[in-house]
Amino acid sequence: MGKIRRTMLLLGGLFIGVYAMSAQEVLNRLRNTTTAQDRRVKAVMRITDKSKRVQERTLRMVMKGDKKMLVTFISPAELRGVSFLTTSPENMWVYLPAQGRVRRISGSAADQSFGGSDFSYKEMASISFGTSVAHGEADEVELNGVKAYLITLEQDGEKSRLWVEKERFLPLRLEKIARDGRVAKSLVFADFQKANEVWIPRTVRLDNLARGTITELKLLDVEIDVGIKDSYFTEENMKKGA
Amino acid sequence: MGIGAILLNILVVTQVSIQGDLGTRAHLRFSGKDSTKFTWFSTRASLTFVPVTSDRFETKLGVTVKTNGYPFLTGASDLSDASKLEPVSLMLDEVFVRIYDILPGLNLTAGRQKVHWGTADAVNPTDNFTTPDYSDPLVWDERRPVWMVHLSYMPVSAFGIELGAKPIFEPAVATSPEWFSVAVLPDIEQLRYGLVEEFIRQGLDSVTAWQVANAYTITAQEEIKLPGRNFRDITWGGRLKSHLGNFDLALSFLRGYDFLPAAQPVTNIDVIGQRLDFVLRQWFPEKKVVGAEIAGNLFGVGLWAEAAYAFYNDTLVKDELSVIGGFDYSVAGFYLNLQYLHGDFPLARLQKEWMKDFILGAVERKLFADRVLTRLSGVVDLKKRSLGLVPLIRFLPVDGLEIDLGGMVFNGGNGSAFAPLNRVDEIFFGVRYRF
Repeated sequence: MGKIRRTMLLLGGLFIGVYAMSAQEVLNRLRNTTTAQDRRVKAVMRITDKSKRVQERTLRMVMKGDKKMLVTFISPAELRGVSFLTTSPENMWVYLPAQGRVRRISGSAADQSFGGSDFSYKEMASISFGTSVAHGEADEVELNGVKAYLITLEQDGEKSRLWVEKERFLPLRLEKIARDGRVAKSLVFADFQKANEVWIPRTVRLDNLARGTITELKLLDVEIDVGIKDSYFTEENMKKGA
Repeated sequence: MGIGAILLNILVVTQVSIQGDLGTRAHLRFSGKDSTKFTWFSTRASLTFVPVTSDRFETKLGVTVKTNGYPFLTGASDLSDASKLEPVSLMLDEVFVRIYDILPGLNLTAGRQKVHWGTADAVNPTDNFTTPDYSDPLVWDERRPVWMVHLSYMPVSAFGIELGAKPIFEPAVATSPEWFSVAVLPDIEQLRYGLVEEFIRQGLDSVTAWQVANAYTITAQEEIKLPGRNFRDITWGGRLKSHLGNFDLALSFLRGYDFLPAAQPVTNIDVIGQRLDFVLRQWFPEKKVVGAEIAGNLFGVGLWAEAAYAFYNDTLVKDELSVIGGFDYSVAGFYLNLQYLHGDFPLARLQKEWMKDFILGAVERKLFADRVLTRLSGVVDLKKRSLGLVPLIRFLPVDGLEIDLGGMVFNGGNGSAFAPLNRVDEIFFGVRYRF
């Protein structure tokens, strides 16, 4: 009996030793851990420029799953009412109250700055990793003493490296790789809070290494699973509070 | 307790948020016969009161005070008239009540509001509910809100329908005569000269023609007729919108009126009584507009097109097709926007001959962490080969504050759309603060 148990333990150890998670499995686990049915958030965005001057924006963010998102600027005054809607990677719109018009965000415009921050529209749309695709195997690494998986993501031909905490499958750090292979932007996810079995990073810090600027997104009030309907994510609701 | 204090108390008790928009701009002409003249000095202050509302309910009340800067006196007696010493206009902006999700995706807005249709930039021939305001030469797509009821049903982002009805017709605010002359009544001497030419055509020599014409009593007047106040005069319309792949599509129909009047001169000559009566009849032609819009992107380039066919219920006005196609693209930090328009250019709409085919465009670049915006926008009249350029540098030193320095340079020979502006170039300086 003891011999059989020893053999099973040995086989089990061998199995664990050779089994490596695929990057996509890690990404799927991360999505399961961090995606709520829906959430409503009030957030503050702090943009620090090269000369350390800080600009602040307040936002209202409403999300459903990991793809649908409607963000409206509450302040400053010149951005008040500007809102951004995405329902899929191809479908993004911006509402500009001064023009009273909803405009589709075209391919190249998707790379433009979101409200003067270091986030582009495209990065805001994929902040929950809902549109990312992972490739290859997940490497086991350590990041600042935390055991993590390192996976490679690809979206629209752009590559990123993502460190995912091994224990809870939480995103730790994302590096966006420029065409020349250098790291263009780095995002750090921190201050995780668990609510309704979902982990939410309450701070996302983006270092724009090319420009030397920093944007920090802090979530203040987070409401989870409040029953937001699909019909919320429409052009008409972009005008709300404009 | 004064009315102001009562109002303040109401605002505090009902938790009303107050949004402000203050701005002033001056234009200085630096070439042409009016060189060194200030052609524009306008200051405006807008306040919008927004009660703290729920997800299902929203209200807004906005007012704008606008001053033209310079006193307008016709005589010393006007010195006691404050409205002429300090010409100020008080205008009502958006004042509405909006109810969201009466059914999922069904929203109703009643009151003074802006409803925009169209995918193109600045010029939208399908946009016929809100009143154009052409008074500011730098803002080509300014619209005034109108009293209307608007119903939108958008159960999913891929499909929506809008219906609107506007019971009160409000005409466009015309271009300032400092830049484009408006269609005006001819003066008596112009009419007398026309009479002389007519007599010469009939065989009189010029001396006799002038003697006869001088004996004539000449009157000139204009008549303008607004659409009626009957139920049948309501402007109404609907719009269907959807997405197909990377493209937004919309089809619309509207029954309404032109915002600028059509004019017909009527001259009665009484040979026996030696009298010429000239009447410039003006009215707002009734029309039905069928519109189509598309916007999307291909290979990273934003594309849009908009077309409107106006069927006039008027024997004196021809049906008209307006088409706009354009693209925008961002590369190396520059934003480029270009569009071609076969239709009317807004600022030239009151010219004798409207500009029909032109290109509108802009190149934009943000600098110093978006603290500075540089933009060069322009318009080219393809048929008459004239050109207008508006360079601008906007400095944003702190949140809410914008400081503008720019210019307006026009080049137009005889007969071109910009002929009235030829060699009357200007620089402008403006400050705007929003809170």
